[in-house]
Amino acid sequence: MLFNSWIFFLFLPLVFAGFFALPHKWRWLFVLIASYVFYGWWKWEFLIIIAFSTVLDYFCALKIEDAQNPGIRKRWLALSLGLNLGILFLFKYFYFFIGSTQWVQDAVHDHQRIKEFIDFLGKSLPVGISFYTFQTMSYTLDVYYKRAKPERHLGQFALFVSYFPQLVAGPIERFTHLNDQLKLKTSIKLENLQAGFRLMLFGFFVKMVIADNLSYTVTSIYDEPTKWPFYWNLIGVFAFAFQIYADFFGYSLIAQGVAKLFGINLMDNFNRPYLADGINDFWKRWHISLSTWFRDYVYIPLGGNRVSKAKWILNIAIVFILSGIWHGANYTFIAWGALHAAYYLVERFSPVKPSSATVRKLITFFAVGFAWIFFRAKDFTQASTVIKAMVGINDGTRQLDTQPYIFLLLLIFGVLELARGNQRFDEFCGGFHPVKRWTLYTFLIFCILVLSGSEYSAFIYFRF
Amino acid sequence: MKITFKYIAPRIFILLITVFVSAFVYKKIYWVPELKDQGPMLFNLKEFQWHNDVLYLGESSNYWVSPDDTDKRSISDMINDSINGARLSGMQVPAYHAGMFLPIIRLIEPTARVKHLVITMNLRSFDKPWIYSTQEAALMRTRCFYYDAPPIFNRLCATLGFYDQPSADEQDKKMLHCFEFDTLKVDFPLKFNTIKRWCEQEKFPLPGGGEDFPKRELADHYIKAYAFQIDTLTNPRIKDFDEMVKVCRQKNIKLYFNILSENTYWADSLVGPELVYFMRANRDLLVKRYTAMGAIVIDNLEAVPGKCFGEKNWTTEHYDQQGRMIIARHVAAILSKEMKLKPFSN
Repeated sequence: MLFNSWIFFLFLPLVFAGFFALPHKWRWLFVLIASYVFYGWWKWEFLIIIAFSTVLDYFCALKIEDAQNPGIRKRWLALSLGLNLGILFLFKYFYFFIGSTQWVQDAVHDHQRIKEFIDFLGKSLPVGISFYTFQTMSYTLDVYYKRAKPERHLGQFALFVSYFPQLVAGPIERFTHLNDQLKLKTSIKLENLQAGFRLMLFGFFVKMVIADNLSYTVTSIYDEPTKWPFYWNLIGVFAFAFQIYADFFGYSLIAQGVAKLFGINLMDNFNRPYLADGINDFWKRWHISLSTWFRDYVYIPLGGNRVSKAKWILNIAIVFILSGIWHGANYTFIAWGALHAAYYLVERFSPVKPSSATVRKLITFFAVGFAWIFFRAKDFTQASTVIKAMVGINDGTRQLDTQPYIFLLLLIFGVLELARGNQRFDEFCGGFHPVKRWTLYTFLIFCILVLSGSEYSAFIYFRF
Repeated sequence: MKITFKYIAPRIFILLITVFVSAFVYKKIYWVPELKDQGPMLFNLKEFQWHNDVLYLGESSNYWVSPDDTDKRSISDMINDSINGARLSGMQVPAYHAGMFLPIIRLIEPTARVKHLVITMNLRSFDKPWIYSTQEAALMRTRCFYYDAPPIFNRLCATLGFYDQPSADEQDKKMLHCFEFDTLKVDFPLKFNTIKRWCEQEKFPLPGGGEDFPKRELADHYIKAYAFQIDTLTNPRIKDFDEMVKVCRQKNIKLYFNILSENTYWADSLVGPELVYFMRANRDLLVKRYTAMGAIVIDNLEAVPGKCFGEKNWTTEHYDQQGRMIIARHVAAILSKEMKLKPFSN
């Protein structure tokens, strides 16, 4: 189920009403069922994977906790990580890296069932598998490192894994942050409703008005870069930078807003990333739940920066490349991760740095925008065609019929982002005079109703 | 702070006002330009229904012209030029079928000038590959813009996915299931009673072994397109055409179904007379059913000779200028008769 689908607008009030109508002791079960319905709406068969992952980590964590012997603890951890990563590999990477290769195709040519299974894996990517797999893995790791006590109630743990607002595209929550909140007895509170609706409203605006409108320009450019002049290619490339931000930021806001209605605080996943004054800063502002995950569970266990310079460079490269691979089975994602690693290292070792913060911000923005080409392109050929067309090699002459008001809306979005500073949107609005606040609300609602992209489109990060 | 009626009422009021203003602004400023892309048939209808006596609703058959044609007019333009004293305009979008025409017909204003409707009845639109086409989700999305509801509501339906969205996989699965299990029941010996079995047979063996693959592929495609029997109880097109008859009767509009020409010559030579039998049987069923319901069925199934089909290597209802003219004259003659139009003096 998508947040921007009609069915969600029926689902949410029903879940809200049901949740607060039920006594506290049954709420976990109700939200768990609702979460499974939310996920299963897309394809119920893949609930089996979530259920398997849940049961696996539930038992592994208990075994880790109960075991006294470090070796045994390590073995249970290895089992949990191995199976989780194995499932992730099977559904997300197996077909691309192995199943589609010629020798595998030749080997299974006469084995119809195996061939069908491999083709099935190639076609079927469970929505949000990377998100919930990382969330459950962080739980087992936290228990292993004794940063968290395991949850002994299977249903409660299942709810932590599958909590619907953040199930399919994050934020990737930590057990210690989310699970305790899920257990709290809450009642309907006006401040929660206000904050929740504000976040949802802004989230829908950002997704449906900004991201979905930019989609047409971006798709047109990437589908046929040689058709358009270099400046349209440039616009398309940087339009994607805003599209993906608006799409993912919009999702995160809606997720936060929905959770807030139930009294749950989800972590902030973005902090105005295009105002970053360096790559290091960018990664502290972009997809924060993932970058902190890699920091805590990959970078630091690898030794972080308390190692030799060569090892540290290797650690940085590993973390960024893994981050690229996390996004999908394609060499372009690896290139995207590698490019960010290169940026990071250049920034770190560069003898000179621009003294002006604005210049640093601009450099960062253009570097990140350029790297998005590899993220968006379906292969290196497309990426190189876009890059060439962007600098005037083999570009075309046709003009794209993008509606000019889209750039005005983008500007308004930019102004709102600048104006809110480090405040979250709900806090930002909360400080307004009611007239000003409702003027803003009506404007956002008007834009959603009248100016949103007319295509029904899933969130980009759903496929990760 | 408590949530009281006094707190909620003004907020709901502002929300309602916002929705109404948005609906008004959308209808006045954005709707029509958006229809041009998103709902092209309604975009045309809004204008055409006031300036025409007859509307011709079609798909790509009224769109396609051969690059060799000197006369590039569409079928509807040819009809318009062949009738005297009435004005006809064509509205066409590729891949449209009865399910797309029906909501458009519902939107014809009772006071509109148009009182005659010619709808293309494409035999292939009743077959499984078209019913389970992978384009169906996109068509259903477009159909949102044709609901008889406030334009902003229709737009929201399209934006929020309030329409059937069968995935390409699902559609393919259903189609293949029908190919395998839908049996053809006839009162003469038929060697292969499902599409799957029929397609599996060797068809064009080559002297040195193997098969003439391009020919076989085309023959199989013909079988998939025409080897079916319309089930009047389950075929969605029948439901839509039936509804069209009802709607037109209510609106006092005379309805003409134009059964388009299919390449029976190729069907016969590639597959055999059994396939032509199914084409004719389906045509007969449609003629009988809709004549009985009061519509005028114009049978052009075999009117266009094989040489006039634009694409020789696929099943399409795309005709060259001669083919289009044959159909246009036939339709024009029937329209003239029904509308009691005078023939041209020359």
